Amino acid sequence: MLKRFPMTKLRLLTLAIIASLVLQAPTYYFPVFLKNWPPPLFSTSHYIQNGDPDKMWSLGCQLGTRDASIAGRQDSLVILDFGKMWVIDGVYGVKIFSDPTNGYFRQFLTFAQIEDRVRWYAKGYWDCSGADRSSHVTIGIGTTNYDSFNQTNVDQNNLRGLAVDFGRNWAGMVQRSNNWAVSSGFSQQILFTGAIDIEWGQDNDGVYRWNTPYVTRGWTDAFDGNDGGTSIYFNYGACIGCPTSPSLSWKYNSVMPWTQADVWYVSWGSQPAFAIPEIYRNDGFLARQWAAVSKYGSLYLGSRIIFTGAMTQMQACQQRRASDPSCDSLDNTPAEGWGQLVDAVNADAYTEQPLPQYSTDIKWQFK
Amino acid sequence: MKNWIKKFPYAIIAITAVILLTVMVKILSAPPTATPAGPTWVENNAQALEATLAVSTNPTEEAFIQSKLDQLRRIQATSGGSLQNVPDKPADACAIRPTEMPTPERTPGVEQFPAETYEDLQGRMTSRWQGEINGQWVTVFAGTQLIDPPQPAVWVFVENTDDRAIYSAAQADTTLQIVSADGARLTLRDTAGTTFYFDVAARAYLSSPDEILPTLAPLPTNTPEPEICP
Repeated sequence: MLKRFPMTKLRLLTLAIIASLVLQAPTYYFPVFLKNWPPPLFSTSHYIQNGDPDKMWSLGCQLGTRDASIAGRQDSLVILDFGKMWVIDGVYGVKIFSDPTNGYFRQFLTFAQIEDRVRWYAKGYWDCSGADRSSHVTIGIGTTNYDSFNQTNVDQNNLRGLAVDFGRNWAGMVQRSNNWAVSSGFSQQILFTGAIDIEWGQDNDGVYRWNTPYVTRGWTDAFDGNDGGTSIYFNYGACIGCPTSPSLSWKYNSVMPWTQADVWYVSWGSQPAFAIPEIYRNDGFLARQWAAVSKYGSLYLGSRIIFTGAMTQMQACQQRRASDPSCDSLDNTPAEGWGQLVDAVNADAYTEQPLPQYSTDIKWQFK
Repeated sequence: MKNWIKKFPYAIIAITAVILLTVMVKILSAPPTATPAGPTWVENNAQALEATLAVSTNPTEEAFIQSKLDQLRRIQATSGGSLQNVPDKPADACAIRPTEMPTPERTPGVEQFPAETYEDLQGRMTSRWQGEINGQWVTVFAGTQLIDPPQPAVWVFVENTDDRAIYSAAQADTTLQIVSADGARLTLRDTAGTTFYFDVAARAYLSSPDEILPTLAPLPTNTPEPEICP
């Protein structure tokens, strides 16, 4: 009796401790084996090939119609990729992608026109989401750090100066767009952000047309300095040639001296920067590259990257597989891309994070 | 141990049941948290940052994360700012869609322009020809294909079909430019000044301007995507 009594107390104490741990533990929504399931409903992002208002309205209407047809509150991020930044006769704008419905002509859109066109997208979403007043779309107004702004003077200081101009204007455009959303009453369902596809590899002909970190950081820093503290941008680029582990010595090359520190900075370190990287490759390699950048940040720069989501190009590959052989290995489904990113960042305590919220898959506006 | 279990079997069962019940309740009653203003990612990101902030011991990291967090909170505040003037939704969205822009007038013929990189077509283009062949609108570019090594080439696109292809001219120098057209027979010139002929209808370079090649059969047109507002 004397022996059994302490045992009983011990057992009860153990059970009490277990019970209290259970009661205090964080709330788990799913059993552990389902921790990466389900991936978020993916949205469709677009390479913009025709910026006419009715075309933009239709794109927004498509997403609004979809969201209204699904029970509950949907929350999407879409990137509208307006192509490369371009200057014609001193007027700043973008050269959008070639339009197959108009002789592959590339429209030049000024900042004022981009601003008008993204509002039409938002209006289309608002109009077509009908009775659904709770679903939400974050619209990333996208560009790229590709090409030389239509300049013959490709001196780095000249290009950086233009990148600074563009970054400042881009932040202003995002702010004005959100002010419009607020004053129009749309902001419960619409948020505008900047977006930029930052890369640096050679084109297939061996020529470097993407920009250096010196030029590109001109854009990000100017965005940061002019965002009014209320605008952000997403980097939806690729980590070209990056290693799959953190490396203080890695640099892409001497022409494009990108380091993991640069990638971290433009994707997360700059205050308005958030990341929704391209996770195209079927073997998960791109996700491991991004996890390595995050770990680099965690080890050396003070913070891992909290990824907002993943971008894939399954639909673009479905449209143009015949003319793009790289699609054979770069056509992750949205669920695969998102899942690879989740697996890569959660494989390491230095990079683990809550599940990324978004999955978006890009396609051409026209086949 | 056995004696203990024998003595209090119902207590063990009861306590285990309570624990399992608690776990189930925790799982099944997971809340739908109050819907925050704006996109949920902002709130979720903010929560993730707050969690990191709570365990951080590095002042630099804390300052960095706090600034990110502040930015997200400001966005939330902005997104929730227009509850007072939310407009009504249209009963028929298609009735108020913007008017379609008039289709640009298409001028058949040759157009030359300063060389420009078409990254989506993997080419650096110098010129374009447009025209109708067998009732289908065809666009042809000439320029340099951005491959390793770069190749002078011609691109052919038949509108609204899957008929699109690149025709390299390995024997040409650097780049090609369309200089004139006779119907669908194009005269091109490379950087060295050498002349080439390309028959768009036959999709082939000609060995001489007089060569006659059979016209290719047209591919079927694509099924149009359903209109959001028919």
